[in-house]
Amino acid sequence: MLSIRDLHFSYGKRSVYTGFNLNIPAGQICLLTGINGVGKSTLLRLIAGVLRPKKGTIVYPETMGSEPRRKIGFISDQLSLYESLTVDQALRFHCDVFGLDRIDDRLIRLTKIEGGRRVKELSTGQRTILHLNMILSLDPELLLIDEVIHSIDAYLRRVFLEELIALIARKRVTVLMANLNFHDIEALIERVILLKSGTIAVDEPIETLKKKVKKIIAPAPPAGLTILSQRPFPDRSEYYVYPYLENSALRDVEVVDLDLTEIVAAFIGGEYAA
Amino acid sequence: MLRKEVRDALRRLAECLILLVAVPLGYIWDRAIVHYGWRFVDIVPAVFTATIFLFAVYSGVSLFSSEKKDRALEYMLSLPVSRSKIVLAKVVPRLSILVGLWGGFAILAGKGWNWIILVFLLFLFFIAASLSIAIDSAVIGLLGVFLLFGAFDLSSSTLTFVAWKLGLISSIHNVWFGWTAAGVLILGPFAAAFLLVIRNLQAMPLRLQMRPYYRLALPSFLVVIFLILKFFGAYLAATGRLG
Repeated sequence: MLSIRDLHFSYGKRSVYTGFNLNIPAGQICLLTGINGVGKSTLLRLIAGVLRPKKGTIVYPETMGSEPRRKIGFISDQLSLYESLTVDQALRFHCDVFGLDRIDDRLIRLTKIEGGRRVKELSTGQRTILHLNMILSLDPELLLIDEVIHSIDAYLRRVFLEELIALIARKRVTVLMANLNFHDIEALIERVILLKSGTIAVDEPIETLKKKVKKIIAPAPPAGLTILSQRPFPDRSEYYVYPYLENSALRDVEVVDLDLTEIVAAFIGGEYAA
Repeated sequence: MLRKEVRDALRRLAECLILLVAVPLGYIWDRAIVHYGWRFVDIVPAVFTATIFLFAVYSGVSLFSSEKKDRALEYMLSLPVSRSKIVLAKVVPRLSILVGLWGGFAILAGKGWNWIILVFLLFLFFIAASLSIAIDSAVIGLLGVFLLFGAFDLSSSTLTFVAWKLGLISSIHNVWFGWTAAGVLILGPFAAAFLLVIRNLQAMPLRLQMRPYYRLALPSFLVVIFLILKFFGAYLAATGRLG
């Protein structure tokens, strides 16, 4: 179990988290979402150890040992690497630091990334694949993926997701993804955590969330239901409600199921409208 | 990691060695224009000494330059290596080269081991290293080191004078007292601020991690500047160096 307790963090005077708590059981695949700047990337960086909490603790599963960073695969939105190194040098450096004999560069060969090219000359997609290749070589127990999937082309995205799925199938890896675009990853996700002002606004298994968030098309706001956000049209409007109750006595309305992208958009739309 | 840092340190050395081009230039300058009768053996030691001093400052100031230039700070901190080991991996190759240059020069010059020079080189290196977090540009870093060194030099005289006036020391020429006091007032806080920043180094803009410098180094630096402005004139008068 990854456990975050009473986490406090700020960038200078701008406070991001004050007393944040979260538990993630081993092997769970979680989506972390929320409006831009809410602290998704910051939370991933805190867990990855590249930021340090001002107060509070992050307790890693015992199986990750005394140096958890050995078992954390972190792909940040910055795709940070030593850019002046060539791909081969970057891989060698990674091997040295992690004490690996060699890195299986199958993905790099598959995507035709030349070993002699400098990292700074690679496209975003190629850098993502290089990162993934490095991370897979660690046999990670905790995978932290910041919003990178949507910025790479369709073929590399498919490669990335196939490798991710293979890893999840092979071992019980815990995954925490920060994302705003979910079409490709919806099938993988087990739990959705929506952040708001440094706290958890929604924390539900995806199936429960899909049952609880609905779009109601009606001429007037549905009585007795909490409206997250709405889209007005001349004759009828769309109301996104949470929690939707199956036994709600609604008449002359259309209740529409939503996919994850629409669900998150409904929550986020509500925040922007507030 | 050490291997990469050795490579980085050697690259800094190669950049400093460009200064050696001054040897033939100085020779040509003498032959063509000033006619002082310089020989290669006169020019080489001076240029080599300048190169060693430049390396001491430049390698210190550029301690984190590859992480800044390559935007690799986040990657470096995600590696399973403690902050202190990261700094050690950076400092050890640079210091080894610096000591090697000093030793090589001492052997070639054949005038024995000049320990004062070594202490001075280490002193410059650590001042420069303490500025490496705050400063991105090598040129500004070099200026910063010389500013700090200037403040150190002036404050050591001023503090000696103040202590002599207060009757704490018997001689106004007590160099060791001045150096120690200036070291405590200037270098101590800078070193402490540097260590605090390193211990808590994070993947966020370095300007947000400078608080120890503002809290420790800046106040003591301002005190030193105040003391220099107030007492340095009196020191010069007392030692007969005015007029």
